[in-house]
Amino acid sequence: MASGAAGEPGVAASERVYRALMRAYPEEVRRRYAEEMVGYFGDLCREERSSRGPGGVMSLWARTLPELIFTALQERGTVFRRNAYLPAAPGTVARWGALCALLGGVLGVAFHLIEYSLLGALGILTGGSYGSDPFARFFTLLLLLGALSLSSLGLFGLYGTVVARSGRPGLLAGAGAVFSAAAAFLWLSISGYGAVHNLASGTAFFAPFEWLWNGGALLIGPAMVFWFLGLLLLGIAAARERRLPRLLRVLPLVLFAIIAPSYELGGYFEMVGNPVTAVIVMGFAQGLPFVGVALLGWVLLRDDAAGPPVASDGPDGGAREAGDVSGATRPAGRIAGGARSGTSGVERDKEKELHGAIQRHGQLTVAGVALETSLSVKEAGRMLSGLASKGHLGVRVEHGRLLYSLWEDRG
Amino acid sequence: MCAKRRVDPEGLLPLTPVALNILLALADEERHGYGIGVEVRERTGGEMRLGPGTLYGSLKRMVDGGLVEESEGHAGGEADDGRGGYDAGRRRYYRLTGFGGRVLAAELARLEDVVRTAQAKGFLPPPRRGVSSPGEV
Repeated sequence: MASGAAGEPGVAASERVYRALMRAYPEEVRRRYAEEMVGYFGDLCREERSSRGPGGVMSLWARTLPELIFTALQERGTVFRRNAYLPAAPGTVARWGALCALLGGVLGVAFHLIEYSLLGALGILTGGSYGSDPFARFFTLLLLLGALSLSSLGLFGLYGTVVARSGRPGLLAGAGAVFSAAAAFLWLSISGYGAVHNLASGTAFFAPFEWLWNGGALLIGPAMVFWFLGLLLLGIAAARERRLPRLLRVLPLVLFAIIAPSYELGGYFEMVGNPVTAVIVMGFAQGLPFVGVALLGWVLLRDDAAGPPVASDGPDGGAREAGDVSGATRPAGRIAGGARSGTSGVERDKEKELHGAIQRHGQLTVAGVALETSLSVKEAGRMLSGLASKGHLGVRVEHGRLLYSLWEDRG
Repeated sequence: MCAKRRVDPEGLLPLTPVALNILLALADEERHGYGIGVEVRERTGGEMRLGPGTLYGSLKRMVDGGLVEESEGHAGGEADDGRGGYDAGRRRYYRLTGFGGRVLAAELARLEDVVRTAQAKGFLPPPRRGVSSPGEV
């Protein structure tokens, strides 16, 4: 790389060492600037050597090493801060969260239909008691707590989608995710303990843990509050996210809005002295939120099936907002949600292919995309320029060639 | 060259000394990394010596921020600096964007205000006659 380095073994060796030390920087910095940084350092070496001899090179090293350590830590810190709020790819979080929401919602509806509407109504009509044997209790308990746990985890689908679309969660979605995580943790703890309690209660082995049953009951309230707060905050965050489809923006808030009245509806029928209708309606009303959660999961999955966010490359996948020169980058994120609307399935597949190729290579030219995918040069050029003009891809000129890249890369 | 969401230049102030000096180095012409480093060092009388990490870390943030962009290359090729340095064909040149120019102007105006305040308070001698202030350039 350095044309003049061949005749200057000291400089060439310095360059080699500096190149090896470049590993301290995040991959993103190395990919973009390694060659230039090594070249620049080589130039400084040559300059010092010609003006002050080997002592100058030593002095340069003495200045450069601390600077390298400091700036490498700084760059790694920037990458860490970008990734800290979601250590997994937002698309993956969105997908798994959506599945959890769908499954949790279905389980919740099943629980309420079986436990309240079916068994409750049967018990009142026949005067018998259904579902009170240990196995039925175990089954229904698992069904309920599983539904609540999965529904709490399901909110991460919304969180992942917001992050994927906006580049970073912001305070609202971040706080919503924390509440959802707390709710999921509590529900999973309660359901785990509840399952073991049902199986082992009364045994000598379980005796020291019996008292936890009462303690567990105390956790139900906070778990429910956390879940509500998580849903509310994530719902507001989603509603404010203009890049999300309208249905996805509205649904979480609608879901939150139906929770409170749905609980009241069953209470009303009980109050007016219609117990059969009351248990059926109560089961239906209490199950309504789970219908909403299942619907949320379905909408999230449908949104995901429309194609992955083109310009979001993991949790750090944010667009560069103009003008951050003070140290921290401020990823603002670009996605292809808008670009996707109106595109055919074939087009979306090609877009996915293109996205995958750029993600693998970091940056590609039109010809590079054509080589890496099934797209023709003409198609690649059209799609790349279209996505870039809408701000979904970054474009840079290097040695007279246009290079397209995702907005940010994981370091 | 990246499509960017523009923000108010004032919102980026104050600039770090390194960012300010790099923008100043690019104010009159496009330069490669080494050219920027040399210009900054000479202009500051050797006070500011930019190491590779500092220089390219700042350039990265400024390119990402839309203040600086990579140019398509030096039309006239590179004049050899006589040191047999880094392969001229592989150097990447940087230039100020319009937005970067506005940020630089805003920062200079801010500094000018600071100097005026200092002069008004008697900490600095008043400006000499016939010397234009940065804002008048």
